[in-house]
Amino acid sequence: MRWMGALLIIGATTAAGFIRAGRYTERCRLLEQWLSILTFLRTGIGYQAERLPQLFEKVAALARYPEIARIFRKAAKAVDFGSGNSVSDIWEQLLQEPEWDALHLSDRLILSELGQYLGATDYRDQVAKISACQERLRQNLNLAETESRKKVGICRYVGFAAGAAAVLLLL
Amino acid sequence: MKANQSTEIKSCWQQILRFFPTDFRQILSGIGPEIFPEISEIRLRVGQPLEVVYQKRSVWVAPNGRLAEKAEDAHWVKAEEIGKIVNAMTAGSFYALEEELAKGYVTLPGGHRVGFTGHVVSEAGRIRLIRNISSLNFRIARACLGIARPVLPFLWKDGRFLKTMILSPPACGKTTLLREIVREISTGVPELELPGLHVGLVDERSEIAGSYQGVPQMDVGMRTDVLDACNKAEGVYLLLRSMNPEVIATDEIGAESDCKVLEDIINAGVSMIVTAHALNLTEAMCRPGLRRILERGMIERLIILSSRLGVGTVESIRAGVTGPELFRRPTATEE
Repeated sequence: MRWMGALLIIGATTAAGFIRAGRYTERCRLLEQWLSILTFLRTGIGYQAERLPQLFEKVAALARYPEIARIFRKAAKAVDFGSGNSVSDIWEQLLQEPEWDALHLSDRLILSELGQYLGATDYRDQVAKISACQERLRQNLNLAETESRKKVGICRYVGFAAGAAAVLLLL
Repeated sequence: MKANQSTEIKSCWQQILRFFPTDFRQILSGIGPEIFPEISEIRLRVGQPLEVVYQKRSVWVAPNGRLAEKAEDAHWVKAEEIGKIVNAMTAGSFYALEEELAKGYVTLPGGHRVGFTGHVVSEAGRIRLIRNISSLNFRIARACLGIARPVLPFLWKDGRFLKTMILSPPACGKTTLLREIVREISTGVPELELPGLHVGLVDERSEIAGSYQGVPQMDVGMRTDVLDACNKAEGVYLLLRSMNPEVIATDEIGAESDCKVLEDIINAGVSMIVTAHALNLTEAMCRPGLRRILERGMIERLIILSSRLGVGTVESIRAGVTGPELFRRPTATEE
């Protein structure tokens, strides 16, 4: 019975460690995904002058993850002809989706700032604004990767170690 | 039949309403389906009452959608409403319409056109963009199927489509008649033993075919190739080189340089149908560009339109400038 409890404690803390570590890798994964979405938007706007509903649909079709596809499909419908909402409002709603929870506040602020201009200016300005946003996100990604490399192992180890320590104390 | 027509009208009105943001849609949906078929334009100006052109006259629209005679009863348009409407009509993609906005209008799905005015941004002496939009004119596109039928027998002779010019003052249905003639000759009219012809259409202002993203929104026939938003002269030569048309159609000629373009169409053995602004033949002859075209005998059929008995009233059809009058509508006194 004792050993069973000990195993449960160690299992739970190790899992908590892994979950915490997963948030670091998840942030990197999302930032990479955002960088490729922004590249797609930049080329669609800059070279093909495609409208946002079509671009969002294409992002949805090309998205690697179904949850991201769903978010962009919803945004494409919301921004289409006759929408009573501004693009910035729709973009803000898109960023509020729980799928982006692993992003840091600084990542969200960068994306949110882009939403204020998206679609609303001429294409040269759009391309410049998206490029600037990408540049800032890339810097965040570099920091996130460094942080991830440092902390993923630590989190997993700390999770296991905390469980083991608790078990030793209890026994 | 009547029920079908009413459903069609309703669905057409719904289609138009979907370009407006929700709050504006509510106002406009108050306009009854019995009134809608007679509305040709919806006009909005910042700080001014909402206007529609109903039965060719300007009337105001009240906040509940009813037509109002007095401006004070109307819904007054606010700057932020215009912003929302522009956003709704451009699907939030202002950048995608830069080229169109520089021309002052945007074509929407369905062929409807929205004209804009506001602050003009110029670059190298040319309009690059219109921003801070202050006025909008939503022009409703409607097909008038069958209106060309009565004139077609005059334009088809000995298995040949005759070189035709439609003359009329603005807003008398030139473009509508042109579109219908193009549709009919492109599809073919078995009753006249007119097989479908390959028509090349140069639609400089996207008015004839109402193209949206290059695809005609109005029915211009099964054998029509459309060059949308293309300069007339360049478009005609491109079609002659690449599409082997049997008839070339284009709108609003009259510049001095147009004569050379029409000559080249004829030299290529291709027929044509064009339109021009003029009240009548006498007025057309006063315009140097049109005079040259007409005097040289390039035109075999001349259709003169007016709006005397409604838009698109055919006043006369002549066999060229010097030829006999083949059809003449009696004047009010003659009737």
